[in-house]
Amino acid sequence: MTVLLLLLLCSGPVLSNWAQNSTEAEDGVLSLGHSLGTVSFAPAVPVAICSLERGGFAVLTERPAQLWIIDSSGERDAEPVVLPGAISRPRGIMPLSRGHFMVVDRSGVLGEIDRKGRWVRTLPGPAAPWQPAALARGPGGKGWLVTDLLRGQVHHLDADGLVQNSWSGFIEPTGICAIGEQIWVSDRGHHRLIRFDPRTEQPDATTAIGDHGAAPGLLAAPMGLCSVADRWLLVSDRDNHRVQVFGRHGISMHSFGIHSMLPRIALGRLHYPTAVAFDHTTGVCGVIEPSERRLQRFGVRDPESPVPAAEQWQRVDLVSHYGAYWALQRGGRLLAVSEPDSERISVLVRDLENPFEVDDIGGHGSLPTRFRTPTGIDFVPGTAVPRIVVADRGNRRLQMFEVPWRWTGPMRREPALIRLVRSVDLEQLARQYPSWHASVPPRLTALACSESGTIAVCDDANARILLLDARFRAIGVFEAPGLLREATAISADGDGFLVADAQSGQLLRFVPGQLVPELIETGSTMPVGVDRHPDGSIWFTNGANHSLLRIPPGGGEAEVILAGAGTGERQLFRPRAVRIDEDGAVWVLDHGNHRGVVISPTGELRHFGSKPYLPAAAAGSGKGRVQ
Amino acid sequence: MIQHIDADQDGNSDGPGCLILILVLISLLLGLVLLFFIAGCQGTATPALPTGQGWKTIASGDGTYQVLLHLPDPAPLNQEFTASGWVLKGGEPISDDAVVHFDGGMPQHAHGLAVPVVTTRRPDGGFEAQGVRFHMGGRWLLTVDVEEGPHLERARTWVEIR
Repeated sequence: MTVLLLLLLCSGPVLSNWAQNSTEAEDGVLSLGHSLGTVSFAPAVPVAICSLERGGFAVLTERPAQLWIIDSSGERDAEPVVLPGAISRPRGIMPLSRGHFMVVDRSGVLGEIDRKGRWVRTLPGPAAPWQPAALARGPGGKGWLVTDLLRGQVHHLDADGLVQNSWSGFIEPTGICAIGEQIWVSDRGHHRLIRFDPRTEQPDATTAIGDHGAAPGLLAAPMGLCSVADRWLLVSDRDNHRVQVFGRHGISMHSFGIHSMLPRIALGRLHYPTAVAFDHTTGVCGVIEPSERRLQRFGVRDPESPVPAAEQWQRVDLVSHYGAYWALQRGGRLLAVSEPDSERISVLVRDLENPFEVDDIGGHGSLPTRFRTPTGIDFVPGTAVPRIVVADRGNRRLQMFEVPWRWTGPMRREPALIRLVRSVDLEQLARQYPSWHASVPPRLTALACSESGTIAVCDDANARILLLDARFRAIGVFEAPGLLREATAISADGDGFLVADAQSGQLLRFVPGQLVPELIETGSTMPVGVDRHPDGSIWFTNGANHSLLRIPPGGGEAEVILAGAGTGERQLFRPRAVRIDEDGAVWVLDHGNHRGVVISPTGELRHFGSKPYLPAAAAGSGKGRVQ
Repeated sequence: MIQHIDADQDGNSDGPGCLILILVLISLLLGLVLLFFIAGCQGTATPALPTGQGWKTIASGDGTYQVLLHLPDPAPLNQEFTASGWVLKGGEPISDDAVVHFDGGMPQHAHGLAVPVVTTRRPDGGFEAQGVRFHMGGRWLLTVDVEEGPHLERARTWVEIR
C-alpha cells in the first residue's frame, strides 16, 4: 500500500506535465474520424500540407505547382498562387514567421517563399544530388529535417540550410517529424516507423515500430507524419487507406479511414492518403489524397456514435488493386500483375470474363521470393515454360520466376506454382561492371524483356536503363543525359525499347549501338504506359489527364482513344500500364478505378474488376465498343 | 607327307599379331599413367556422386548447379535432423566463397519451418543445416539457394512426410 502511494505521489508531477502541454483540441486526437468535408484541387495534385499557426492549412500542388491556403472552416482563403519555377514538383512545406513558408522540391531545391508564392531565398541543403521527400522542423524547433530518397538518408539542417548531421540506413524515407528530442521517420521500404535520439543513437530499422500488414500497429506504405503536442504521431498509412495515431511510446492508439467502397467517395473514406497535418487551434486533421486530388478534413467523432463495422480492423485487409505494372504472356493466356500494395506478384489466366488468379508469390522482406515494393514486370519471350522477371525496388534486385501453368480442367488456385529461378543484386552487380558504376545505388522502376533475350530495367536514381541477359549478366546501359529524366514505362520494340518519360512528356526509342535515342513527341504531359501495336502504331497512357492515346504507324498527332476522369465506359482514372498482345488486343491498367480495360482487335471494349468501378451503364457485363 | 605350319599359330613367330598385342598393352599402360597424372593434378577431388537411400539429386532453376541433398529416409515427423549435401557446378564442387541456404515450407498451408535453420559450409566443400524439423505431415517444399556474388539460383524439390 505504501509503495502504491509513493508511486502515485511520484507520478503526479509526470502526469500533470504530460497534460499541461496539450490543449483541449489536441486531446481529441484519439477520437478523430468524423469527416468535415473535402477540398478539391483537381486537376492539380496535392502533394504536401502543413498547418498554420492561426488555424487552417497550406497545401502545395503539382501540375500545376501552386500554393493553396485553406482556412479553419475548410474554405479557400484566396485564389491559389503559382509557385516559383524552381518549385515545379514540391515535396514539403513548413510555415515560417511573417506568413512565409519553407518549401522543398523533388529536384533538391530548398528555399523560402512568401504567401504570394514569391521566391525569398534559396538554402543550400546537401551538397551532392539528392531527392527530397519530406520536410519538418528539427528537434526542439531548431533547424530543419529533410529526407533523401536518392541515398536513403535523413539530414538535419540548421536554420540557414547547412547540413549539421546526416543518418543513413533507410530504404525509402517518406515522412519525418520530431517529437521532443527524438526524430521519427516513416520508411516505405521497411513499412516501419524508425525513431531515434540524434544525440545518442543511430537509426535501426530492425528495432523500429510496425511491419507490413493491416492490423493495428502494422503499416502498408507509411508516408507523411505529423506530431501533436509532442504526445501523438499521426501517420498516413497509405496502402491501408487510413491514418493511424501512435503514442510516443510507439503503440498504435487509434485509426480512422478505410478504402472507399464507391469510386471517388469521401465521407470519411480514404484513398491512398500521403500526407497529414493537424490544426492545433481547432483540433482538425487535414489529410491529402493525391489520387483523388483532394484534401479531406477530419474532426472529433461523436463519442455516442459507434465506429462503422467496416472500420473494425478485423474487417480490414490488404487487397489486390490490379497493381501498378502489368505483363502479358504474348500469344498465351497469362497476365502477370506487380502489386506493391500487398508486396507480391500474381499470375492470372486472362482470357476469361474476369481473369482468374492461379497463384501469387511474395510477401514483404528481403529473402528470396519476397519483395520490398515490386515494380516493373515482364514475361521473357521464347521460353518453353513461361518465365517472368520482376524488379524489386527496395531490395535493388531482379527476380526471375517460372510459371509452369497448364490448363487441366476446372480452374483452381495452384499454390507454389510460381517458382523462383534466379535473382541478382543490382547494387552489387553495378560495382562489378565498370560502365554501371554510379554514385548512388539503382532505384528500379519499369522493366521489359525483348525477343532477343535482353532485359531492360529503368534506374530512376541515375536516369538510365540497365541491360542484362537472361542469366542476369550485365551487358550494357542506355543513357541519354538531358533526355531521359524519369522513365515510368518501358516496352520491347523490335530491336530496341520504347520508354515513356514522365518529366519531359516524350517517348524515347533506344536501340543498342545508337548513341542517341529517337524522340517521339506525344503532346502529353505525363506518359506512364507505352507499347507498340503489331500494326506499327504506338499506344500510351497519359497519367496527367486520365487518357489512352494512339500515335499512327507513320507518326503524327496522337489520337485520343479513351479519356475523361471517371468510371464511365470510355473513361479512365489515373491509368498506368498499357500492354498489347500479338493479336492486337490492347490491355490497359486503369489503376485509379482498380480495373482492367481490354480493347479487342475488332474494337470491342471490355472491363473487368470490382463491380462498383465497372461502367455504370454496363455493370455486370462490362462490355462496350470503341468507335 | 608335307606338314604345313601356319605362321600365325607359331608361338615363336614375330609376325604382325604379336606386334598389335604389344602395342595395345603399351597404350593401355600409357593411358593408365596419364589417368593417374591427371587425377593427381586436380586440387579438389570430385566427390563420388552419392546415391541410394536418402539422397536426392536436384537441378537448379537454370541448370547451373546440381544439388545432391541428403535427408534421413524416411524423413521423420516432428524430430530434428540434419539436412546435408553438395552443390556441383559443371561437375565440380562450388567454391568455398559460395553461400548455400537450405529451407523448407508447406505452401498449401502458408508456413515454413517452425524454427528457422542456418546452413553452413563444411570443410569438405559440402553444406549442412542442423535442426531441421518437419512439424506437420504432408507435402513439404524444400529449397536450396546457391549464392555466388550478386547472383542467386534456386533448386527445389518436394517430399512427403507421413
